Amino acid sequence: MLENKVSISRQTAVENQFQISRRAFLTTSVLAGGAVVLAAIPMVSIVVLPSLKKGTGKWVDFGKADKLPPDDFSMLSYEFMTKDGWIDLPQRGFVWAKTDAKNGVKVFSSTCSHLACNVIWNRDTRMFECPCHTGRFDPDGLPVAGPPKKPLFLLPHKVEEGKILVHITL
Amino acid sequence: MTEAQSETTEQEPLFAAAGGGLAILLKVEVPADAICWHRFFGAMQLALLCLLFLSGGLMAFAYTPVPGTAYDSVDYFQFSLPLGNVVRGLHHYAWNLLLIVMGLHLLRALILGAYKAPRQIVWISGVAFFLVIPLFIITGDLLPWDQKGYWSTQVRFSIIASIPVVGDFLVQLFRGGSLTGIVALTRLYVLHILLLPCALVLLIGLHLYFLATRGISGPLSDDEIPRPKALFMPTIVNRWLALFILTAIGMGLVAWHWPAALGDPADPTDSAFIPRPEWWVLFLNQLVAIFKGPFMVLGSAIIPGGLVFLLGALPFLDRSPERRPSKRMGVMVAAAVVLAAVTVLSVMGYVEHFVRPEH
Amino acid sequence: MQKPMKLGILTCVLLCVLGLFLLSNNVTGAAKQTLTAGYSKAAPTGLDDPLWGKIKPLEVPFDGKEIFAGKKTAVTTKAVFTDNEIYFWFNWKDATLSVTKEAWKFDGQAWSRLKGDEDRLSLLFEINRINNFATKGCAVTCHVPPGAPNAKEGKFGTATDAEKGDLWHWKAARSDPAGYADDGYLAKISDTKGGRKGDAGKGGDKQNMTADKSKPMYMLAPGKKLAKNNILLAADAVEIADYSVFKTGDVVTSRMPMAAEGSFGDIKAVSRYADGAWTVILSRKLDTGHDDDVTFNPQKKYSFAMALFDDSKDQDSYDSEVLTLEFKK
Repeated sequence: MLENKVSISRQTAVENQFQISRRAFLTTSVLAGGAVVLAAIPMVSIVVLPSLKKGTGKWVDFGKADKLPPDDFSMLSYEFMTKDGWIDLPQRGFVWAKTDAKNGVKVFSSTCSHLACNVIWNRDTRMFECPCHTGRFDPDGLPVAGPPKKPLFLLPHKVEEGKILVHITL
Repeated sequence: MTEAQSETTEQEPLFAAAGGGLAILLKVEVPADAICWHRFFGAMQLALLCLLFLSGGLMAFAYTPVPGTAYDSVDYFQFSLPLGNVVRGLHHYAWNLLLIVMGLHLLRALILGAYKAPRQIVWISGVAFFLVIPLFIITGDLLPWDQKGYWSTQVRFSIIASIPVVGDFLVQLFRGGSLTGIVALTRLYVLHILLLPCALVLLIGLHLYFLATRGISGPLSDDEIPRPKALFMPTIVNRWLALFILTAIGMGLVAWHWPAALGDPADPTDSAFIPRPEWWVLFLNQLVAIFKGPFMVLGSAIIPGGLVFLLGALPFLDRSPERRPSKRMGVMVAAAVVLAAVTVLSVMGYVEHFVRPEH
Repeated sequence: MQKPMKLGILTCVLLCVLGLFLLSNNVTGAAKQTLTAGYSKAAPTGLDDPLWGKIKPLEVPFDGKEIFAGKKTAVTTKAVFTDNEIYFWFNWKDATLSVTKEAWKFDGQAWSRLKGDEDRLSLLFEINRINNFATKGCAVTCHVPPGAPNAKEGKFGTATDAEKGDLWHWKAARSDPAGYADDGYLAKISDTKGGRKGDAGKGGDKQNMTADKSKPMYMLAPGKKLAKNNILLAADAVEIADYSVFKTGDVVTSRMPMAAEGSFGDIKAVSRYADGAWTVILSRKLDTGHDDDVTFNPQKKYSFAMALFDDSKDQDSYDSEVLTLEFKK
């Protein structure tokens, strides 16, 4: 009650005159709100909703699994078309497959866990080397030198009808 | 009391200014005769322009100005995004309707002599819209990169090129070269979504500012009776908001049922495609067609340009304070002749391009 | 105060109607035939469904090329769509029923191949926009890259990876008896390989031939019947144990149609050859959910083109101009 009185006492004479149309002002707010909601509906469906779609990834076929050299690392390159909004674009890259007689196949992402350069397997040093910031990973993908703190990302893979399929996320 | 005082003193200057602005707006009064059916065109145009800005802004979210890909992006917008069809249709119908409402708005001001002193500048700023809006259409038509837009643009470019001395230069300036390709598309895109909207907003601001300072024209009576007043806020604002909402919903439903056309992708090698002129340029097309060879410039630039110039100069040609149409037969007859000529030319063009389109 | 408001709204409505009237005439002047698919709540039951009588036909002219150069033919085309499927109806005159496809014939001593191919109809749609397909049609998908083998898939393909076509291929001998049209797609043509690919899944036909290519390997299994036009389906075949059962003049199918699976089998076919004309219905889901198929959105228009093979090889065909497919509820 007291606050109300205070606020009214602060009104100038002119403002008081317009206070009468508070109802009309409420109508304005409702109408303006309606207009905003109307404009916001397509905004949500066109701008917000499509951005919530998650990349699904793709099982990429790298051919016969038994063709991979045993107890070695091989670079598997891929290229496939992906829909980017309204355009089909090629996605290119490679992953590292590690064939181990005891533990089977492991597939490492070639993306360095530091700043996303591509790591290269060095046969002589038996390490993954990142050319950007001299990061080094051991054959199990664990960081051993340089700035990387996390291991190389392991990609899910499966063997179907003798073919090795690797799940590449985009 | 003390609490309230401290609140007042702590207010940010910006906030205070906004509050002050609102207080001024709350005090604005408008003659009550502003609310009548034939004055509704101005409000309608503002509603349509708001819809055009909103729908255009949304369309820009899924558009790439690259030949070919531009078509894919528009196709994606219209058919793959939820409500994309409605938004693109709204944009399409809104500019068509805007042209009609603009014509009626002009006609009302012409018949009721609203251009007379002290409102000459309001009239002139209004005529300027008739120069800017067609530029929007010319630049926007190419953006979907469909056959119709591409070949209509080619026709327009050749008409502009027929203007002596500056014609070729203007076309080169539009296209950024001799091809209608990625450079031209990017130029028209930037014009359409950046430069022209800025010019338009400026023009709307000027038009409304002149209207506010010069006042709206009064009723057609000689007695100086005091006009009743209505509050701008909320009376006018509420009505405008209601109009906006109704227009948006109405046109949205229309767009939903009758989607805007998207023709085949542009094929610059397919010169067999003959674009049909749109309804609003039928009379201009016919003018261009009447004057052949060296006289083409008469139809493409001199007559339309002269008409716009005369329209702009009207307040200075008809300076008597008389506003009743029955006492201004000269202007009325001239306007009727021009209107009749435009109608006849449009009908001729319609017959030529739509009823017997074999050429 | 209410009256002007009403008048204003009335004006607004009138303006909208006027605008719509003007715009409804705003069509463009391309000389392209349009096939309008009519809507039906219920799917057509077959070739004789009275529904087909209510659909407006489109007479599509075809021009012959290579061995048919200078010849013309025409296909009467109709289309119907339901809430989730589309049906195309085709009818064309063909003096001969050709389903031989080099079938085996026994002359009492040895097996030989009969001369003769089969009747075929193919359709090409766009999955991703093929540059200028909408204006030039199949011509833009014909390439002869340097050094390309003029093989089965050698000439046909798109120019870039981003362009992709949907290829429907109805074969009177190799797909129709099993109730399908082959569902393929058209991808980029390379120097060594053509762009014609089959959709994911299984289907097509199975070769009926012994390892030494001298005679058929399969015959009709006991208790089974030959399919339409006396074609032996792969599903009804059994390996031949005793060749002495064959008499002089016996004919055995050499390419046995298989039941299609997956995306390859999206297109169902029904057909009849009677009174010197083929009548064929091809149907498919509007949206198969497969990325090697065009998705039909009834709000949209589609460009497509057709080719007809009258007992002929791939290069010898009658081709249509590019057409527009639209949907009307």
